[in-house]
Amino acid sequence: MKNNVKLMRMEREINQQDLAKKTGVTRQTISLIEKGKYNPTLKLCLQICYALNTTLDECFWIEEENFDEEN
Amino acid sequence: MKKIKDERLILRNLKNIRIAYVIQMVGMIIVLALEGRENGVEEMTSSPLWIVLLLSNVILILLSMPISLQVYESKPEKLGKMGMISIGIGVVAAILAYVSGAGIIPSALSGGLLALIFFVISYFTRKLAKKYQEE
Repeated sequence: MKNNVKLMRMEREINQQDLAKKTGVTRQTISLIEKGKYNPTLKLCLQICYALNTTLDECFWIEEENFDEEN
Repeated sequence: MKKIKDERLILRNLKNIRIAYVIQMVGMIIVLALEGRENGVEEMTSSPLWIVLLLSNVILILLSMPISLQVYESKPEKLGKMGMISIGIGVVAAILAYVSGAGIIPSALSGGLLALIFFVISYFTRKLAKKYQEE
């Protein structure tokens, strides 16, 4: 599912490896989340938000009309 | 070995275990079928592999019970009805055992045991169904 993780991460100048370390997952998982190829659990979404100092709304929210296209 | 903490890898690992389980099951069934064809059914059922196969399937069914209960949202049955069904199953099993040549006492014992097992399983199923209904 599409998300703003990459954008948020770039804005904060954090690389994938550091974000992975902070959230306790592998770099590959972060990469797949950014590409929209893996849907993280709510727990991991929150961990990513805490690590990037952002909110779920900013990072993962998708408007309803776009949601249908994604799935 | 390092403990896997990544949720994606945990899921992938579980999927791998499922594939290995299916292969193992198919292998066991093939080995037992070959043994049954060569040495007869009795030899096959006396093999430890047969017990492992039965045990793992019984455990799988028991572990799957809470999942199916949540999927089908079945209503909890009344205790009396469950008891009657259990006794019915026990009586039928005892009659079948007696007809197939077992003595009265072994037939009654196996029937009673089957009824008891069925009742215990139904009782826990009912308890789980009640719990899920309340959630």
